[in-house]
Amino acid sequence: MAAVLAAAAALPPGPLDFKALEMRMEPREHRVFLDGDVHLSRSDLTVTGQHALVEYEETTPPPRRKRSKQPAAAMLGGQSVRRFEVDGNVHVERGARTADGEHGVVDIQTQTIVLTGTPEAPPVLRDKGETLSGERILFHLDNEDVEVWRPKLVLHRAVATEPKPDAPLRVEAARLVLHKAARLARFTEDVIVRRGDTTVRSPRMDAKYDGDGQVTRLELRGGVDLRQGDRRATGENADYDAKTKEVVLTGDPKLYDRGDILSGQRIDVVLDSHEVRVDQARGKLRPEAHKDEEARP
Amino acid sequence: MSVTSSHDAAPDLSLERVAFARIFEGRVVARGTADRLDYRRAGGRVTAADGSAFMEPTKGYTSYGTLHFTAPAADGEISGRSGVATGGVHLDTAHGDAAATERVEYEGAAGFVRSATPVDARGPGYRVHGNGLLARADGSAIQLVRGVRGLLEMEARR
Repeated sequence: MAAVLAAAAALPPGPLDFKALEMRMEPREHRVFLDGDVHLSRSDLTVTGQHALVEYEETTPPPRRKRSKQPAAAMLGGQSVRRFEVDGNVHVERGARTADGEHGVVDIQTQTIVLTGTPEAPPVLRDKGETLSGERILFHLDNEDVEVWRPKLVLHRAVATEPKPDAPLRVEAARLVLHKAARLARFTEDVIVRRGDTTVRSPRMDAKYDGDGQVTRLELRGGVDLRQGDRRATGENADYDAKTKEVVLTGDPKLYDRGDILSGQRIDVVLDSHEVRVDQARGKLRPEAHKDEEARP
Repeated sequence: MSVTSSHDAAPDLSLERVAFARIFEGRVVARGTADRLDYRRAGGRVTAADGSAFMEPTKGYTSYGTLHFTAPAADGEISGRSGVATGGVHLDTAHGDAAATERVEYEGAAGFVRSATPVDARGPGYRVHGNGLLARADGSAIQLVRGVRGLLEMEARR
């Protein structure tokens, strides 16, 4: 997903190239229908599909001739494309990014593309091996930010490949906004991060990237609930370091582990080793609950 | 449509360097010229050479303003309200549109204008090439068929 943040320049104004099997102009309705193998392109943006509806903005008609008694204009020319909708196997390409869906709306005035799909085939955004899907994907053509409703993605580039492939981070949320300039992916509402046997829930999370598009850090805020097997840790905030694979919980952090309840200044959870460190720990321990662990070789 | 008038038969009336006008409800809605115009009473057939016509649409295409058609040859059947223009048909509108195709057929009864030859059209905000044309005479829809490509402007020209 990180690579999604690095895309082409803003869409420049100019004519929209198109190809199709058929074109039907409805001058009175200020619209054009394109049918069959529709291909629309402008600069580095290409949108293809099976059907397209191109809508023109309504403009003041040109000055009438003196004696002309023409009614209100209903014309095709003399106007510019306001928006177009594309249906049926919609494919969007821009730079290294590609996206697929069932329905796409390109709004020229707001410089956005909204891509939707079906419950069975949600829209998908791909960029250099990274894949992101969701209920609805909105691309900002001017600043290249991306918004995703109900995103589902795997942060492949957040995991090390040496010495061995690592468990991927899977993220779900109600909303995702990718801010290209800030190298930031902001997840909000019911954020769930899964990695191996670890699940973390939080109302919001920021994923930060480096210049190479690698995830460097995850910052979860607003109440964090981490579960790893029988172990549970909570805190107001949590920070995940992609290099050390450690989660640091702060803000009245608490650790619940088979009857043990510990609180401290901060709690560090190392995801791979399952090691937990509690700084300035205080709390209640129940050693009898861990007898079976001690019996293990 | 039957527009294949017999050119062998001598016309009942033959005019050269013709100018004409059609008046509807007190207004000139069409006027034009032709180098030559033949009229055959049988079938009400008219044949024109190097014709040029200006039309003021009273409905449908009114937004395009005055329409100017030219064609090297045109055959028409008045009673059947049908006709064929051939040899390179050009249309220019007061609105700034221009279209050209080799052959155009008009079917007045069905309310269609058709062309089975490639069509090029351009105007403010668009340029398009199609391999055929089907347009409603009432102006409600213009359809380019059998493969179409072109440009649509995305910025306002005010």
